[in-house]
Amino acid sequence: MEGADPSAPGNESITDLLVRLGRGDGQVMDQLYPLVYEQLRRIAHRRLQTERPGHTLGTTGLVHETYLRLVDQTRVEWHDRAQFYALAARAMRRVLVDYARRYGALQRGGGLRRVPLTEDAALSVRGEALLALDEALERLAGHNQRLSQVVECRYFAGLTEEETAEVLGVTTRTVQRDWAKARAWLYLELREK
Amino acid sequence: MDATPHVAWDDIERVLDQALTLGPDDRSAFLEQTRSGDPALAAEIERLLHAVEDSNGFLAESSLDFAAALMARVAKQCVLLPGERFQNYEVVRELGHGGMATVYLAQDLRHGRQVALKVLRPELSSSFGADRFAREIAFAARLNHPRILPLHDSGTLDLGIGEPVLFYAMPYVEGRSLRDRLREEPQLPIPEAIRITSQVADALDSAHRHGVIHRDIKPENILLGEGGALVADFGIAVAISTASAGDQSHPGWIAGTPLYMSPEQMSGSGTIDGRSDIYALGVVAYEMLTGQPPFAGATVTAVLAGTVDAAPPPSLHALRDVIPPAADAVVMRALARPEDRYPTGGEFAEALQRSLVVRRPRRSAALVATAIIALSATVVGTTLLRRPGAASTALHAATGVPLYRPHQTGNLGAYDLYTRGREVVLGGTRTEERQIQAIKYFKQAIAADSTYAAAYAELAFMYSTVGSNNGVGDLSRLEGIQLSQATALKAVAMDSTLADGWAVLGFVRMNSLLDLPSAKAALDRALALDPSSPRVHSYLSVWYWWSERPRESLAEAQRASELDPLSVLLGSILAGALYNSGRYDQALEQIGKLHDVDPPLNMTSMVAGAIYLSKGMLAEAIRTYQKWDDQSPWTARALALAGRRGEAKRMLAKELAGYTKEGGAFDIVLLYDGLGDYDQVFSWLEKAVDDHSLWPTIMWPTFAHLRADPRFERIRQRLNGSGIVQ
Repeated sequence: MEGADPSAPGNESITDLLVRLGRGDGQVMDQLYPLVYEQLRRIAHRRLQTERPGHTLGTTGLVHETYLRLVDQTRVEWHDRAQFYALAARAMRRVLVDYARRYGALQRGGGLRRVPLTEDAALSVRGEALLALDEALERLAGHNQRLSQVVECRYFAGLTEEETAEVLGVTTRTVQRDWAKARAWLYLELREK
Repeated sequence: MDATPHVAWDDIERVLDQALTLGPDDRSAFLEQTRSGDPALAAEIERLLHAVEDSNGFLAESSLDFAAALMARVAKQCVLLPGERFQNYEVVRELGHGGMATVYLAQDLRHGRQVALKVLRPELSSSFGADRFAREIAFAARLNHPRILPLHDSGTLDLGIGEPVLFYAMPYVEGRSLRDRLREEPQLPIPEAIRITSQVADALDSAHRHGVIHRDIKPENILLGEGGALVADFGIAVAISTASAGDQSHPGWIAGTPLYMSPEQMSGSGTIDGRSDIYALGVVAYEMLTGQPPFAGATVTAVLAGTVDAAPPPSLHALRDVIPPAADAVVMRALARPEDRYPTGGEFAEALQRSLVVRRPRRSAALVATAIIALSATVVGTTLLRRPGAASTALHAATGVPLYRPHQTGNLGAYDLYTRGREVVLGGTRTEERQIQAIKYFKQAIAADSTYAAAYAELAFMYSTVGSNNGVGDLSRLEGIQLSQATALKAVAMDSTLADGWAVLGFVRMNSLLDLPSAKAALDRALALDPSSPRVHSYLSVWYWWSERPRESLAEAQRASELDPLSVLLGSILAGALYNSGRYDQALEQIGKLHDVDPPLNMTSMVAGAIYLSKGMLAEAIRTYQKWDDQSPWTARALALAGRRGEAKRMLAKELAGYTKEGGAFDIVLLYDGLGDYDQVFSWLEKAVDDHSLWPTIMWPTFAHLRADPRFERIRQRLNGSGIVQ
């Protein structure tokens, strides 16, 4: 279990669930997703705390670290790992959306009085844009699920084109093309708002 | 909106993929070709190709930096999202936030109930330990009083975002806070302000007796639920102050809210005791009555900084002229130095009520007319209205029973139902629907507390109004009379010291049972128990109508009106008493004031019409009656007296054909009197006594000719105890 975080609750079960997922047990998805979500969020916070004061999640992929910390790599197959990354990318999207919502709730609740206005104004605009993007992405998935997965991997999880290709089991060229199509479609969709 | 509504996405994507693999020249040719085959598709492809160019920088940076900034920002606060679960709670939504905490509505999954979950601000949470907080809060959690919102739970909440924070859970109260109520109506109706003050005082007194001080009484912490006011957050301010006392990072922390904080609490010097809460309650009362707290924010800060001495706040009377100057002294005493304040909330609330309600000189007819009423069984469908310009003026009982009368039940639910019943009775025109509603509430109050004497008394009163209305809902007139008697007797059996119980029993005996001696005994007993009850004096005034003693009737009516100058009903009884004393013009003048209510009360119209008849002003009488109700036998009688006998005859034929004991004979008496058939009048007067439909109005001057007839003597005898079947 090298690299895994022994203190992280549920890391055994994440590995177990991932193995079961790899064996075609699709039902475990519902159990796996919240665990990944929770761990991803905690790891993100830990990173934020240790890397202060820059408020950065680091340049190396958050999803990589999450994987390394959570999953006993000796026990999972290659395609299990790909599944995990796809799942983690979606979880990362959800984490961010939740934060944008929390932030919106904070603003509406008026709890931000003591904070410089400019920082909040910028965050606020981006937060709202993010929520709109999330909704548009949902509609895009209705057209083609893979296009939205590419966005999750590239934009939300910060994976490279090559990593994304590996996660989704397609060629890099396909990822490039999907990425271009997805961005164009989202761009039009959001511009019309 | 979907960017590609008309063309199937699979087609678009297939063609788009092809186009993307081509160089610029080939792409134009390819598009040209597509356009000739499917122009709509080609247009869509072109739009997307442009977007591919334009969106080059779009989403180019991954979201991770933004995520970092957002997370760092949110981590400084603790925000819960709807649907979020922790421990045994699931968040439903945010309810609000204050200086110390954010409040959420949450489902307590373990106990299957809704709770108000208060999450302390992170900077507060971090300044003292959870254990210490829990210890402090547990002290207040032991309080057990129906007006104190209990504490369900407290603990630490760790969302994995920032530091763990402290929370506590209280029952969720449907309804709103006093702050919400004040936003809607800054100056509360006076009875409501008094009721809230005394309910909060109840809670404070109980807590103080147990050695617990609230320290943060303010409109936000006073919740207005179904059962009236509830005080929230007991012990929280104390717990925060104590738990953070040794904390050097927040040395100046003062728990409380400056506008409502007593000077000794603000200065942080000296001992804080229950009197600090009395001060805060004084501020709240001031605000409820005038629409603003006594000291503005800037003043508070200045006082706190020691830069100015506190100037006295504006007088309540100056801010709202219906408030008598006497109330100023009461509120100022609550805001005085600790040693000069009322020692208990109860004493303050009582003094406030006295200053606002009793012995107020009549200020103007307009004010008087804002009050509302329901009267005796002699008035059918009494109207109640508030003048728009003075909407916040007190609502008063016709019966003289204030809405805010101290309750005689320990059962909060019963008390609430009782109060609601009173509000229905006093809050609008007495329609059949309202009568049914009020009866329902009083019955429910009794179901909740079967020993609740005051609820029996009001239920009895409502039953007697059923009698006056020829039936309400399922109840017939005679059933109403029977029930009113039985219920009034129950009221006095439950509590023989309850003046209202005896008053209603007296009322029922005189107006429904037509038994004047036993009525007088009950009314005298009520008077002995509460000599300053306007209700009792108004009933006595009506009793003296019955007894043909106009001088005493007038004295009682004047006394009742003095005690409750806002009551239109009492004002109209006074007009009737003046009329009965032969002071027609004074009576009309009195009615003139009351006519500020629109439409006027039934009582007022009946008195006014009768005065005009007595003055020989037939046309004016007819106009008055017609304006009130052109289908009334009173109107037909006036028309007949003026020689227009047709309407009276038509109505008489109908009444005679349909007469049953249930309907009552008194209407027929009026019609025969108008038509001058006195043999019939006396025959039907007997029947009106038999069927309990006779009204005390028979003793008015307009019927003097009947009372001068020897045959009336028999009626008198029957009213005085011979021959009434009960």
